[in-house]
Amino acid sequence: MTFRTETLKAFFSGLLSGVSEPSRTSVALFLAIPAVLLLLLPLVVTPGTMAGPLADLFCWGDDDTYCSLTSRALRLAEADPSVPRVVVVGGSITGTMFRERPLADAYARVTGDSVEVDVFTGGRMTFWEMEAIADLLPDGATGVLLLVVGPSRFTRNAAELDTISSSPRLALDEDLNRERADHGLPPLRLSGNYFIDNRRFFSPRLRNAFPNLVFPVHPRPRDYTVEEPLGEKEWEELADNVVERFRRWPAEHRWNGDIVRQTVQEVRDRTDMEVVLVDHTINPRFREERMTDAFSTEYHEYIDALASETGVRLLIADTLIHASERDYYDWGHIRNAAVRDTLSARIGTYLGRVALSREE
Amino acid sequence: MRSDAARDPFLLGKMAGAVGQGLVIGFLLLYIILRILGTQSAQFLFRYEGF
Repeated sequence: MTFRTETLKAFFSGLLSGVSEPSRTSVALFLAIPAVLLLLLPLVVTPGTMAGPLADLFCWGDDDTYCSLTSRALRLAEADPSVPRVVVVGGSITGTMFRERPLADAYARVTGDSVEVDVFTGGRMTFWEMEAIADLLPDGATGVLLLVVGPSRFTRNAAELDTISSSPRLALDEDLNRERADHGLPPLRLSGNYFIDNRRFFSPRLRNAFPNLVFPVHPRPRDYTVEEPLGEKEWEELADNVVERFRRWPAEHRWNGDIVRQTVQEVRDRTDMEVVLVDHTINPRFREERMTDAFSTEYHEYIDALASETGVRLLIADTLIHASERDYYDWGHIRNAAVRDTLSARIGTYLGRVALSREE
Repeated sequence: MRSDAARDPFLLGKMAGAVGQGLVIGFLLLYIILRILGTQSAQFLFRYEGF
């Protein structure tokens, strides 16, 4: 008993001394830990890692949808191409328009076949990011790709291309150099290593790995069905902001359209997927108060021409539902779950008919 | 050294203390490096998010 107490006393006395005094062991260790871990990252963090559950370690929090989008998009790349799927890509309004189950059920009722539905949406997603996700469709994939567009999406400018490539929200190893060159931006230097080429995505996120190990995060899209519509003051501010974006339409819409053309062409070249352009929902109040007839007409004529030129179908989501101002959170995000489910089901029915017409 | 430590609890404790100190400072140092590396981009991310 005495022997054990003495031993413990000596051990803890030594422990105290080891903790309080610098030593070669501690110095070597604390220099080696950052060095070894930083050197290991390019070897350990691969698309495979990001496609798995470890991806959540790099997320900012439960609202970091682009982090989980990266993970899901990389999983899509590994999906079985022979399984038909409906892949939806678009911004945050798109996220409030689609629910997987009603869409898949409606599709199955028309065709008698089941279909996988994958919805990839994120706040203010650009066409470059949509193209990067579409690039991950496996070669020979079957089904339908829905590219969801809207007037705001066509107003993104070259400054945003610089931002999304120098501080990316997605880590998809997408080479944006071709688009950068088209807009007079200097090329990015690429190494061929996934982690190094996406270091701008990872560098701010790596520190999240420590807290996320202890308190895991599970990012998911914002649920607008639990939100009340915006108050009058917020509505006016947001509507002003959206109209301000529309002012960039004359200068920016053509080359944004070029990215859509390019995406459609690349998907056609590599897969057997049908591409459908979907014009997203807009609150009738916003349409009435903030969109001039001239702008609405020009926008619709443009996307109509874009669909015709590229040979894809165009679906105007607002023609499939009868929604009122209160069914929306703001200018386009649907907050009424019943409206969203109806819209998803009607789009599923439409896609089912498209699938049947292709078979005939 | 290792056989000495096995016989001497003081030395064993001292080694455990040094390893513990190295681990704590090492991860703290790594966390600080990552914070410095990521600050600029992180500010951008929060500014850019939203609908």
